[in-house]
Amino acid sequence: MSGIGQTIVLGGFGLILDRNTISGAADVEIVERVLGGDVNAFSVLVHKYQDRIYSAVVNYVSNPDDAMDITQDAFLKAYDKLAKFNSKSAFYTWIYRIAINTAIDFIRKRKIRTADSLDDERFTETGFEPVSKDDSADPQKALASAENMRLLRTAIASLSDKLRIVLVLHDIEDLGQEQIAEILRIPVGTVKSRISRARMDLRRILRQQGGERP
Amino acid sequence: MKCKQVTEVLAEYVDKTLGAALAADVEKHLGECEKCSIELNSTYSMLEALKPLAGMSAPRDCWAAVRTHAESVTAGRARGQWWKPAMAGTAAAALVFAGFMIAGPENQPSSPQVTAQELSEFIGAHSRLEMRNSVSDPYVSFVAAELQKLDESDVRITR
Repeated sequence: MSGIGQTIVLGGFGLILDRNTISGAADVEIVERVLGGDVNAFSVLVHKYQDRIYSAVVNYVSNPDDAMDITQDAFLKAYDKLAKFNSKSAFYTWIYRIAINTAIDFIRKRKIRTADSLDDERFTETGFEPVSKDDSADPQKALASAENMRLLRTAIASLSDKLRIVLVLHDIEDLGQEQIAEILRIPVGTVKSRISRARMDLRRILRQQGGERP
Repeated sequence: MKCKQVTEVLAEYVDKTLGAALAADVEKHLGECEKCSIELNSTYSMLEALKPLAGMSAPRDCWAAVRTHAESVTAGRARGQWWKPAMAGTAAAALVFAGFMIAGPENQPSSPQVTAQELSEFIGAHSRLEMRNSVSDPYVSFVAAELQKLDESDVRITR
């Protein structure tokens, strides 16, 4: 949801939120409203976090359709479990945790071959592939950039699940080590060592792909 | 500091979470070791390459599906509420009735454990619940019928 810092009206739901409402602390108040019977208040949380959750999940499972399903599933589960949400912790770490666990379960059940999914055409569609604007004027550069991205995704998908998730959350989604520790319920020291290992492994895989990239 | 030690703390050095003294040792080593400098630069390049993968937008809005689910769950919960007090009352009445049957005619014919007044009160409570929730509780009819049978028999019921 955009418009942080201003009054925001969610059309149709009669929700008017000011800048203070769109803050981490306000999440708890929204949760209380939902638990009090205001179903539509949950839309604030969905709109606030769906892009962030989707981004982390798509980089983890490397498949846009699966990532969308997992993101939606995560919010359905969050709604069902909302009464169990501990207001002492942040809502976003809680929803991230649900999403990551949903993604892990999804991968186990469907036995996704993430590397295979990288051939999905949508990874190179305009609007999905984050091609640099500077390259857009030069088709060859854009193509090279898209190819680099495909190789990078393939390399990330080759990492073990444990290393991939910390790399995605830390080095792509820019979450802090403490936040990741809380989401994954592992010690901060473990997060640090996994980040180090993930970077080393990713560099090694990229070298094996045919020269250090980028 | 040796290459292996630098490799172990390189991630923290890159993230600027390494202590000042250790960071100084790493920098000293990097100034002298080309191999580790290359590792450092390649890490920076790799992290830079990862940046465009961040901030992907969800291709569709989840809210419509979540709202449908949420409203369904909420409606289900509301529909499901009626039986909770009814079930609690039913369970209590069933327990009382079971106690009455066990400790009643055969075992202690001269002194039933439950009075007819207590049973009547339970039945009354159930009837009120039935009316309030617009439901029919078969246990009310059952207990009432059993009570009627006992009343008509020779078993003495304390009144």
